[in-house]
Amino acid sequence: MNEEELKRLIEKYYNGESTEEEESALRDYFRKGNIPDGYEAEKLIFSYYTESAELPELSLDFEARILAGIDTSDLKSRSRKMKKYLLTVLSAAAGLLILGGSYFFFVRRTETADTFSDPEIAYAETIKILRDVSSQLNHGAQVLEPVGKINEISRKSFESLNKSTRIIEKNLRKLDKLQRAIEISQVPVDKNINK
Amino acid sequence: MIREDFNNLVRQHNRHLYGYAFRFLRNQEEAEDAVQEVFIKLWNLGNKLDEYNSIRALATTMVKNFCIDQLRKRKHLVQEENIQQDFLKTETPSPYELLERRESENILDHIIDQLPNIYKEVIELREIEGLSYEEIAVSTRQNINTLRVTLSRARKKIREEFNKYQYERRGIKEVDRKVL
Repeated sequence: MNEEELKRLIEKYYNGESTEEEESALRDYFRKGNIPDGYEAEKLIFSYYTESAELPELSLDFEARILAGIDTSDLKSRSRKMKKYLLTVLSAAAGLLILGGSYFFFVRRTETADTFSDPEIAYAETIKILRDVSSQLNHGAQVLEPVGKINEISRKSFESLNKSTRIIEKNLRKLDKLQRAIEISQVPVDKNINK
Repeated sequence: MIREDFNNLVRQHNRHLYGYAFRFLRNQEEAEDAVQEVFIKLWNLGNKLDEYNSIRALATTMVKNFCIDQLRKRKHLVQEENIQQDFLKTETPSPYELLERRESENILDHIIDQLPNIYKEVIELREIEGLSYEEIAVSTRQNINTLRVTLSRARKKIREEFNKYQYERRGIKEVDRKVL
């Protein structure tokens, strides 16, 4: 197609006067060769039509798939947000704990101070406190007395159990001896029979 | 933006974005995935989304960037395939030319989308679906002469709008060049 012919066809095309064959020829022309200056727009427009015609139909569930994809991403981001939130709360709590802990550790640490000037009074005081403690302990021990009784009873019952075990043992030994005596007395008799 | 509004956005723009992505990726499944990814990213922008004047333009740019990333990832495979396909039609275009062409296609997509319905319908039936004049006349219930007049007006409108965009783009490029 020469430039003259191109110009004529293009004019017919824009005026809506071209035949279907002429339009196909134009389309082929712009698809292939180099084009003269001034027809760049037509080249792009015709190439757009050709490309659009080759576009495969969308999948039927395309829209539904996009929406479902957004739902899934929503869920993911929500759980991500939740994790972030939990992390913030937990780190804040840990921070507070450390602050509180260090306050008690460093600032309010209780120092031991001398309270008595006379060592003898201090000694007497200590003895008094220790006595107090021991009387308290004794008081506790009294409560434990019944447990001691139970121990005693179980000890006694174990003793009698031991006695009966010993008697059984003795008798078993006797029985053993008796059996061996019987075996010895039987051997010569058997030999005689074999002979 | 509430979810219902966003769903409407998805319904409104998914076809256009799919077409745009397909022209880059040349694969239906991958083009659909690209659009889905972009919609998820958009939704995750949350309130920031309301700050944009044109969500369509934003989404288109995001699809473009996503597709270019995809192409980089599978560079050898796809580029060869693309070059082979384009080689059959024209001379091998440079990547820059390809990108330019995609830009123009995006603009044309937009122009046709904005046309009055009566123009849009005849353009789609004749130029894209390739129906004959007679078939279109029957399906749009107009005589062939009226159809030719409508088609003529639609074609001229498209060229006019397209030239306007091209002119603006050239202007922007010249400004860019001066600034650089």
